[in-house]
Order: sequence, then C-alpha cells, then structure tokens
Amino acid sequence: MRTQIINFLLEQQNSDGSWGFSPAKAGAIEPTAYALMSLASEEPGRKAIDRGVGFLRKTQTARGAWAVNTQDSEEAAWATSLAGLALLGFEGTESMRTAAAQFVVDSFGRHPRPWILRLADWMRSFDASYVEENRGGWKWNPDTANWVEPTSYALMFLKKIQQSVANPQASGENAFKPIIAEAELLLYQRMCKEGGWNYGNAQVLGEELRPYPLTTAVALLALQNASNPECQKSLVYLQRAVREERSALALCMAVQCFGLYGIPAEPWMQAATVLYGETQYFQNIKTSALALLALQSLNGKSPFRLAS
Amino acid sequence: MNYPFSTQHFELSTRSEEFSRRRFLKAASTLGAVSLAGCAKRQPSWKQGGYRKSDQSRVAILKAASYDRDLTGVILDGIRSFRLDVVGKRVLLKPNLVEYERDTVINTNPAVIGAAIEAFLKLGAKEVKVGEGPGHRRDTDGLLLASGLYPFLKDTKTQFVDLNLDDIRRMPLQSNFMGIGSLYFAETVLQSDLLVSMPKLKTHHWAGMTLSMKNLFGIVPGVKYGWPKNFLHWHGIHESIVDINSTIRSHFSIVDGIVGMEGNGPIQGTPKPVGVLVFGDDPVAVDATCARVVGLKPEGIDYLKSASGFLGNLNPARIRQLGEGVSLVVQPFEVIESFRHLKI
Repeated sequence: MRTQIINFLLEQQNSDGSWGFSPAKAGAIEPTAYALMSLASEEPGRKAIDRGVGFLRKTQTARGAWAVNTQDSEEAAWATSLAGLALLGFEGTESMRTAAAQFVVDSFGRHPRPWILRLADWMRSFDASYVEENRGGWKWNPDTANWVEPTSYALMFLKKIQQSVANPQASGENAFKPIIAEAELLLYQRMCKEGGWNYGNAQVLGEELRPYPLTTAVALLALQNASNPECQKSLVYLQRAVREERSALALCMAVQCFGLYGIPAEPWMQAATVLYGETQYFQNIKTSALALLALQSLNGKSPFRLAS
Repeated sequence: MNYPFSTQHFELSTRSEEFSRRRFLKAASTLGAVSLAGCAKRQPSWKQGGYRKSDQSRVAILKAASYDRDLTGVILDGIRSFRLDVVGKRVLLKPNLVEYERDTVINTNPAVIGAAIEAFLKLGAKEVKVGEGPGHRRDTDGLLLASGLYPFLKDTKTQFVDLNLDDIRRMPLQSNFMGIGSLYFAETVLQSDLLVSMPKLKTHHWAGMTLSMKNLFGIVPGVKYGWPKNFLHWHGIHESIVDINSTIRSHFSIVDGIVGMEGNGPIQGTPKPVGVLVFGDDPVAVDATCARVVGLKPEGIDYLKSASGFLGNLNPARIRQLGEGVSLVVQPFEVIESFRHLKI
C-alpha cells in the first residue's frame, strides 16, 4: 500500500505544485499540506516537495495566510495553520511560517457576542469567582463560532512553531503562550461527557452529543498531554470507538494519535489497509496522505509530535 | 430588478367601507412594524431570475410500505407522472447523508437512492451521479460504508461526489434574505442538468422540518464554509435555505417518507413509519405537502412561508395532489416544544 500511495500522490500533483482533494480537482491547501508532510520523509518525493513548497510560496497572501483553495481568495486561518504545519518540515521557509503564525494568532478570538453581552462579560470579569465560558479559539469562517477542528489545527501549528525556535522569548513566539492556554481550555470545556469530542459543543438543546473518533483524534493531537485525565478519558473513548470505525480518514488520524500517546496502533493501521483494498480511499488525496503519515508514525515519525 | 417583500405580502385594503378605526390601527401598527423591521434588517427581496412560482403545482404521494419493495417501479411511476425530461441529461441525485448510527433513520435510505439511480438510467439519463456534502461529518468515506450506500454505488458503477471537497464557484444569490450577495457552491451541482433533491422526511430542531429545500445545505461546500457550515447558521437558517434555493434550482424532489423521523430531528429523533415516497417539481409544494402529511402547518415554517412568495406554492388550493390524498396518509409527528405551534 505504501508504494501505491506514494505513486498516487506523485501522479496526482497538479501542474502548479498543489494537490486537490481528488484527482483533477483544483489545488487546495489541506490536501497539499498533508501531501507535503507525508512525502517529506520519502525519497521519491523530493521534486514534488520543491514544487509543493513553491506553490505555497506563490499563494501565501501579504498577511501570511492562505485561502482554502485556488478558487477562493478569502484568507482562512484553519488552512493557514495546516500550511504552516507542513512548512515546519522544510528549510528556507522560516519567514513564511512566521508570517503564517502571526496571521493565525491575529485570527484567534472568542465567540462573537452582541455589545450588551460583551458589557455583561466585562462587568463579570471583576468578580474573581466568575468562570469565563466564552473561551477563545478558531473558526472556520470569520465572525462565526469557534470549533474543535480549526482550534486544534491552530494549536498544533503554534505549539510546534514555538518549539521550533531556539529562543522563543527573543523571537516573540512566547507571546503565543496565553493564546495556546486559552484555546486548550476551550477544547477541555468542549469535551463530551464520555470523553472525546463532537465538532463543537458537547450539548445542544440540553441533549448530550456524541463524540466522534476523527475529531477526538485531532483534538488529542493538538493537546498531546498524556498526563491529563481528560486526555486519558478521551483516549479510552477513542480506543473503544475505532473498533467499529469504517472511515479510513478517522482510522489514520487515530493511528497518528495513538502513536503519540504510546498506544499500540498496528491493528487500526491494518483496518485502514483493509479499507484501502476495498475502496482505494475513494481516490481521496488527503486520506491517502494521512494513511502514509499513519504508516510512518508506526516507526515513530510524525510531523505532529511535540517535544516533551 | 428587485421585488420587495412588501409588495407581495402587505397589501392593505383601500375600500372605504372596510376601513374601520380598528383596521386603521392594525394597518398603522403593521406599517410601523414593517418600518422598524426595515430599519433593523435589510428588506428581504429577490431578483427576477429567482422568481419561479407557477399558478399551479403538482405533488405525487405514492405508497411504499417498506424498503424491501420494488422501489424502482414506484420511483419510475413518480417521475413519469411529471413527464420529467430526463433523456440525455446529467442527473445529480442529492440525498441526505448526515450521520450514521445503528437503529436510527437519519439518512435517505440507500435502497431509495439505489432505486432512483436505476430509474433515471432507465429513463435515458446520460449519466447519474450522487453528491452530498454532509453537514458536520468530514469522514464521508466512513458514512458511505456504514450507511450501506456504497454497495448500491458500486453495483451501479455510480460516481459519488463529496460536495464538501468539490471545486467551488461563487454565484450571485437570486434573493437577499441573508444579505450577503453571493455564496460558493459545489461545481458538480452547477454542471448538472437535473438536480434531484432526495431528503428524508424529518423534523429539525432549528428549522421545524428538513425536506427538499433544507436538503440543499449539502450543496454548499464545507471546504469553504466548514464542518458544520456554521456560516449559514449565523446568517439565519431560514434565510439561508431560501437564498440557496432561489439561486440553485432543484428540478425534482423525491422524499423518503417510508420511515421518517419525528421528535428531536434531524439526528436524535425517533423513527416513524409513514409508508410513502413524495414526488414533485416544485420544492415548496413538495415540502408543504410533506409537512401536512406529518400533521404540521407549513405556513408556520418560516422558510416555506418566505419561499411561497416567489419560489413555489404553499397554498393547498394551488397544489394538485397526485397519487394518494394527504388525508389518507397522514401520520402526525411529535415535535419538540419550540415547534408545538406548528401542529395542525
């Protein structure tokens, strides 16, 4: 499967160096970022990587961001986080990453609220016992609510970039710390009752929502805190949930996650391999790249790994 | 050219004999409310290109007791009763594929989708694709397998397009309820000749009911608007439904009402057998009829009321019923507290 996926990724690279979500589709940042991450440690991928990084260089906006794909022009923080995360693996991209990190930091925000509620928030802030519920995070689109997935991508990127600089204090990356801390609180606040994460809140109209393996794996990759009881509870949920999982995308993300938390992941990689035989992952480039990353993670390699 | 709502919905009587003091006060307060609403929010309107209301619509209710029956035959009958021009057309079936949980009826049943693929091919369609952009699930691959849709696609060699990850194109909206001017749509939808909305007959905890019109949320790409498409919610669910439907026409509807969902839909509700498939080429009339079938007043559902001004017919006098009459198949649905007022 490994060779087939590498060949598929190399064949499906667009002429501008990007990858679309599936063959012959317009270049999009998400599949491009995962393709770059997955090919980074594969010898045959060298040329493709140069072209892929070149595509990101050409499409980065003046404010350091990317739009979700080449058919859109509006900057998107979640796509920027993924592009930045991918670029961390390549030399000569420091200025691109720094600009991207700044854009992601600038996009951090709380749930938009009318002025009257903001006034109430401000007044309550003087009460030391008040626990803030409207925590900051990241959105799919500006001026909407914060969600687990975009918040997780931004957290992964900011934590990694903070660790990648020799002296965060001097370079300004230390300024990310309070943002990272608040976004982590948002994720913990959103955790479902049984552990794991839905896409947003844990409840709607008083009903508990169910967690999903994919979002749970993404959130756990962002938090990467094995000693935290909430993460442990969510890992227990994830190990239970993947037994019935039929999505290769979710399985491959779970394999990544288990690898980083020291949990054996081979059975789930095997399940993802069986699905490949059945569906070839529906020719989905992001899923294929994540499968390659999952295979690499079995050998301890992962672009998501934070230094302990 | 815009046609403001007020010209359609706020016609004041000018006959002097009817113009009592009470009427004057009512008219004045209505005008006041309209003016205030106009100050608070942009006046909703639609472009001439978005106007599709005909004098008379038709809706067919055909009985289908279970998913094991010959559904292809029922669907062929349903399509034929509208003399739908299918020959040589690129057909895109848009089912409702949201989520999979065992023993629930969240999605359009795969047997109905499989039967529709066969029916459109038999009627001479050039190609049939199935496309959906699930509202919050990113792992569409898992949904296809777990929901049981994949074997039907494989057997009929039908292409599935994840509309969330498709190429995208920005389109000017043909109405202005959201007040945003344009929206991106999945390219496969724009390239199709015949868009068939295939919803599940379900209640919806924000919108009242989710049917042919609400089903088109799935043609708005997640890659642009996220998972879920929170952008649409922030601009108003009812407003979004109308703007999407005024801009992208679903040419035909096939509603899976064999087993519907009542209560806290669209995900956590309870299965409710109704035993029907509902067909039509006016999505407003189809959705209004479905609401009546489950014992709800369509006039109370905001998006249907707004759409009835220009997109289709809500008034039963303007809907010719084919197949079974509504009264013969009524199965009242339970609804959550906030929609109790909709009950007939």
